[in-house]
Amino acid sequence: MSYTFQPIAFGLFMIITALTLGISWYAARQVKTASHYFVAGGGVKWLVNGIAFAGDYLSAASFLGIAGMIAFYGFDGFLYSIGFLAGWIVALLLIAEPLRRCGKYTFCDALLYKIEDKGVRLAGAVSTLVVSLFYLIPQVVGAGSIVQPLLGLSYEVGVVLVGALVIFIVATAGMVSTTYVQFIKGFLLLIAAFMLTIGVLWVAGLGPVEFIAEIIDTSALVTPRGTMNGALFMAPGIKFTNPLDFASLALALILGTAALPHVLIRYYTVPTPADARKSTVIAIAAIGVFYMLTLFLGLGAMYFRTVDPANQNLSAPLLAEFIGGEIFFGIISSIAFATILGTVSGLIMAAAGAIAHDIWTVYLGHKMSDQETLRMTKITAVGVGIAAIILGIIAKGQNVAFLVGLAFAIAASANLPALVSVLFWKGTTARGVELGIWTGLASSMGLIAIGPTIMGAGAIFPLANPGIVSIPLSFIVTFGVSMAQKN
Amino acid sequence: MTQEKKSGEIVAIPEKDMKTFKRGLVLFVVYITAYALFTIAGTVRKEILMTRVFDMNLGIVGGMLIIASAIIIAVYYNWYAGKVEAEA
Repeated sequence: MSYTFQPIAFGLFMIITALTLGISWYAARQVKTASHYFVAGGGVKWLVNGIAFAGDYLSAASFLGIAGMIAFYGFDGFLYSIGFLAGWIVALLLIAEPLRRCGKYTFCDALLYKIEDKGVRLAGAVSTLVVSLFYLIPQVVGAGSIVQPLLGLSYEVGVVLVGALVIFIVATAGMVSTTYVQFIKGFLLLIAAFMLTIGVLWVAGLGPVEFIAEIIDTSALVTPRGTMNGALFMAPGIKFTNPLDFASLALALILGTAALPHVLIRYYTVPTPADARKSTVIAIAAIGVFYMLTLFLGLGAMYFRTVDPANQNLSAPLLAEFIGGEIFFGIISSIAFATILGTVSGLIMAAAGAIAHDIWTVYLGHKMSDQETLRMTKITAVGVGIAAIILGIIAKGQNVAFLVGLAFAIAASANLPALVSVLFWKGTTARGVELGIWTGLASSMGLIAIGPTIMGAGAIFPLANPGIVSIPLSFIVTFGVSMAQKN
Repeated sequence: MTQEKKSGEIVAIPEKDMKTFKRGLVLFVVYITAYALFTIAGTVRKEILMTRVFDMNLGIVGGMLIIASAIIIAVYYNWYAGKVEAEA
């Protein structure tokens, strides 16, 4: 599919991007200390933080990736919507309030609230870095995909553009800016999803239940992957031909959310544990409604055949163009681009904090003033941003929801067993936590490396998502080593 | 090198919040059970999720219900926690 420059869409894109940068510039003036930079001084209101959570979480994977996944794989794509939200129940009921009590700036701070241990600090920081990088890749892939039809630029130019903008945002204002960008973007994204859903049903001339029923009842449904029975398209098994792949992804999604470093650090931005809880409830409501709508976005793209066979991630923007022309396409694409800017900013914040705070300052013992810490973090953020640009160019063409699913598996394997055991089990030892993190990291990444994602048909490990093996393994090592040491 | 800190609890739930936490655990078990049943059905008995319900299929209806129940659980838990805090 070829794309041409669209002036109205470009104008809207420029307005929304300028607004995002303006907020960053304004917020940068409030940043005086490391606390302001890392966690917005801990003074964000719970309502703002809740919507910002939604903005952080509803990344390129949710808006672009899931819509594309549903358009191409039907029900199997919808599984991402269900699992991505389910993870928030773990965050609300188990993690939110205890984490706010224990942490300061980073994921490691929560792990080490009782004991200071250099091994745990290093393992936690490396894990934060790896998970953030894995989560960054799909975001920049999404940015490159969007820029192509929006501006008529190449994929690679899009990746460099988003990288440069995000580096500017993070290197100037930190979490204050990221929070307000995400707050505004979260609202815009919800409105956009509502508008698109109403557009799909209006153009189809059907109610929501009738629309789904018509697809199920179509015996020869034309999908981007060929003609098939509608009832089969709307049942499990199109993408996940190995049933264990379905279970492995479901496990990674429900346990991954509460282990994502850029989600966890947002809990430190509110004043109290009760505010952490309230902001999670707001996030669940906003994200839940959005994920219900993704079903109609994906099915709408399939129904009206507004898909690019070479790029699943463009299904939602192309659907917007079909329904509302260039203006609607420009609005939806610009919001998607702002989504990516905000999410990448949060991820780079988490990664830069792990390097500057956990490794450089605490692990290596470099004593620095507040200003020196800020400067170090900003330099690190630039480095992480450049790494994200390079990785994004390498990962061209992948579905972003699928890539995020891998990041969830790594986070759930490396971080969650450590976090749960530290927060809730008195018998946890530093070595148990440290070895659990390394085991989770090594096993999840190793299984991805020898699985179908990297090795294709000749894969040694048969599942695309490693969670079903690596998550229990990390729990076993964390608890096993701790118990052995106690004995 | 491990260095014990003097302050801080090992289990990060203060005694005054245990009542809320226990209620949260019950909700967690209920939700996880529903999610697990849905996942197991999708893994080993796909035909169950193809059963027609309300003009759709059980997979879509079940998925929507799991999403909606997460929102309901979150709102209820927050209401309960607020009530316990007010009583304290």
